[in-house]
Amino acid sequence: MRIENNGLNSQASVADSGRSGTNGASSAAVETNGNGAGIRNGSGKLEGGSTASSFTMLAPPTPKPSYFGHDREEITRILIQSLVDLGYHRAAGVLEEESEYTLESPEVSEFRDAVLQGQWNKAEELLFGLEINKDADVNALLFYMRQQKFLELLEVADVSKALHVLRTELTPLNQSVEKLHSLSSLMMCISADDLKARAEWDGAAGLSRQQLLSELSKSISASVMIPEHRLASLLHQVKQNQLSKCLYHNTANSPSLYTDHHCDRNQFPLSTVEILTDHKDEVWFVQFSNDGTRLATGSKDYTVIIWGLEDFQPIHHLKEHTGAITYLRWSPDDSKLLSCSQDKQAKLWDTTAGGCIRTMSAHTDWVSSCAWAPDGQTFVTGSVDKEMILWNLYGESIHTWTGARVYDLVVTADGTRLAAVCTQNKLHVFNFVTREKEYERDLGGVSTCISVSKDSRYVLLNMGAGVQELRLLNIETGADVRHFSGTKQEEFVVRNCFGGADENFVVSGSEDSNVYVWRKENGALVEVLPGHSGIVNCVAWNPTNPYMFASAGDDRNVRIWSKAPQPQLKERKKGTTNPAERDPGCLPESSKQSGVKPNPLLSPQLNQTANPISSITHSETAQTTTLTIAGATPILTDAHLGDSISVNGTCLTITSFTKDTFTVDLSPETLRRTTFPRSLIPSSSSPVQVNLERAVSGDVRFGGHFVQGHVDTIATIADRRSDGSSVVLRFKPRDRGVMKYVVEKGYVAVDGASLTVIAVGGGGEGEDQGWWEVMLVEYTQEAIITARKQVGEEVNVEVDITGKYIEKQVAAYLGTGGDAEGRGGLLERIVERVVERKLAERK
Amino acid sequence: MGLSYNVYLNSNRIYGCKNCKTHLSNHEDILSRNFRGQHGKAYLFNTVVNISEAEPVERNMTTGRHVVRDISCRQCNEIVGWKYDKAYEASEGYKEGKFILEAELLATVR
Repeated sequence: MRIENNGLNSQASVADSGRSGTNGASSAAVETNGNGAGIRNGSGKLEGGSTASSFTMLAPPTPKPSYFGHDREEITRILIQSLVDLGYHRAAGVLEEESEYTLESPEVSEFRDAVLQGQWNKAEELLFGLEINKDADVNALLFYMRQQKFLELLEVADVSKALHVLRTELTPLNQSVEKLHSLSSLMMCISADDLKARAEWDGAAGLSRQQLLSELSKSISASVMIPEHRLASLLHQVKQNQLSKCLYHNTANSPSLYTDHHCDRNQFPLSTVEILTDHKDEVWFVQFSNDGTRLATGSKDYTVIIWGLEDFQPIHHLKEHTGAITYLRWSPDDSKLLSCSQDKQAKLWDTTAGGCIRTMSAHTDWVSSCAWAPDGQTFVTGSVDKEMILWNLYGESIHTWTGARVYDLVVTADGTRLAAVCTQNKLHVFNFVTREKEYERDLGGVSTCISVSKDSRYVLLNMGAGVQELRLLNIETGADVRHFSGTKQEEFVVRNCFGGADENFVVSGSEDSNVYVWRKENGALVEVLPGHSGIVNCVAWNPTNPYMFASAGDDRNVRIWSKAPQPQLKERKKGTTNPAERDPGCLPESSKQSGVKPNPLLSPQLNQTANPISSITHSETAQTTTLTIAGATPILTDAHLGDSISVNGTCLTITSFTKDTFTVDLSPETLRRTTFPRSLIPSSSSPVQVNLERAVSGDVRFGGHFVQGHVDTIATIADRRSDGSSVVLRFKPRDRGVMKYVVEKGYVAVDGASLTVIAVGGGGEGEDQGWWEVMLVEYTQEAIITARKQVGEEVNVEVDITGKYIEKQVAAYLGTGGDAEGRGGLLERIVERVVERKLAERK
Repeated sequence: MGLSYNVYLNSNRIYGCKNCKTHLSNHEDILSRNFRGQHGKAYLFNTVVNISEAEPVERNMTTGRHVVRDISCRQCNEIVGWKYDKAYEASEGYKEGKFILEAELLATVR
């Protein structure tokens, strides 16, 4: 590309020197100038307005300012080159004129021309005039040029000249003898086409001269001849830099150059949006289907569950294995699922119908792993019995690789390689097509899991005891590329996966219950996500949704992680929608007690949430009633099946739970002793609310008394009066018997809340049931639902257990209890003895 | 808790659990064949793998008082022998930290 305007010197362009105030970039953009020298003097049109040329004709040129710290010459020349690359030759020419920088000096241009036009002698002369890099091999450059000359001569069938070139010009350069031989053999070619084919050369008219020029330019000093497409490569570097700094980069789109690229943390899947609890034992494997619509989970409970991701409900339960499930793989078209089990079998399932198509029983020990060939017609199973078997869809074994006890294996997506890790701490790589072994490599530690990247070039290994990190290896060479650390992995199998848009991330489980996420490009730890309790065994990323991944843990749960859900007022759905219809005695949902601590079944102060019971069902056959309570999210964050929750002071066990609701069963005894049967008839217009409280944990301040959650009886509100801003309630118990445990200034638990008794009365012989009073301060009135109950309503009552124990002891001593061995108790015996003594003294 | 695989040994003669064939020890690890257990002949081994240990108890054996703990196959939970924690008599000290596997409860795997 020859550009005119050589030889511009500062004297002639004096007018431009007045432009010191402007920056080069903005003037270059002024394309209103046409070509030609006349414009130079018309610099009044340019910004910054210089003075009339005659004045400044003889003044020395003032140095032009740098472009924001960058060398003006470099920038301008790069811009000129980019304009040429983009095809804007006129603009490039104008830029050269205006800036007086040339893209290339005249010598370089001549050299360029010489090469492109095949003027070899001239080109060689010029080459030596140019600044060549110190470490460039001049002979190699000359050889390349002369080779081109040679080939072109052969192309026009000028054999004698070609031979001359070969002998006098190529041979003395002392390049590789083989090259010389191959070049001389080309002389035997019959036709030009044959020559082109044999030499892989496309002729003088093709791109070969350009390619030669490119090669040569690489060895020429960069400031003389700017490397090709320099601006593009600079921009590429900038993008790479921004991407590598963007920790949460989760899109495959190339970032725009207009703004600095930065992905928001909120766009990254950080929150658990669903917890799938159907498995009855530890969940050891999870994998999304290739189309991202379903999820398969395998567990120690011998079953595989296929879930639909619309509603996170199970579609199929696959229950035929007689051993724990170790591994699962969806077929490439998702029509089938392979499961591997400790019952030494692998099973092939139909994922639509949910039935077992085939069982492969050839292994003699646990089947540890499996993988599909990309065409979905064959698959490999691996086992610790030292065999990897290749099967077809009919369950027939096609090939067996023997030798290593395999923990995990993968087949690359392009179907070229099979990689496996074994008990002897080695990585084995086979060619999947020829089935031969390519290499094996000692890893220096045990690896429990291997994953392969989408581009089939890298494998990711989990290293266990002693090493405890993840390693990314290049599958061709087996060399380590990167390490990712942070996980804990000593004894158990923990699995990893690639994930995110364009596989930007690497994810792993860990024995410390967290999920770890790193950036694949630079190993930076992005997030440590707690949530599971117990080892996180396996992780999987949704292949079609960069914002969703799943983890499976020893806590029998599978967690689905995604972006934090928008704060919808979901609770409103379960209760009234129209506030006006609500029973004024019920708390509006928005005023739930906040700051619920994981508190007591040992109820210190009032840390309760008032929650609506969303349904109550009674089952005749089982003789139990089931209660479902909604809106309980704050207390369910760390709940497990079997945990105790105090519901209106009744200690009940969670039988199932979701993110914001849970169910408990009410036994007949509970129904007898508590207010549940009478006070709990929820209807859509007046949701019944209850106090909820978790059991106390060990690190809270203990400000109340021990409440067990074992309700003694029911009491009715006999009276309600105000005392300042406080409310005083008077309770009458159903069973008079409890009165003896209620003392002034003692504690009583009413609907699960520990309250101080301010007055006691009645309950004597011939009187009524007895009563006691409690005072509820404003704070308490808001925190518990009891405050809203009216006269005549009922509450659950639990008295202080201490009183009961004391009573029993005293009764035993006094002989009025039943424990006195039938001899009438200690008091009686004391009296007997005293009486005997006295009588004896009298005598 | 968690998925973990058994250890696999690598010699020509391996003794395993009679019930489930899980590898327990190598023939080379035998220290003495002169022992008797509840089921007859027993061997003293230097190291044993894939076992879980019970709580230590004091037992009177033909050779004196010892503190031992029963060991069972970690796969099928069958008792396969015991481990010596402590020997009260000095002459029996060589057994400490070593394992007894009863021949009746073993099978030769390979």
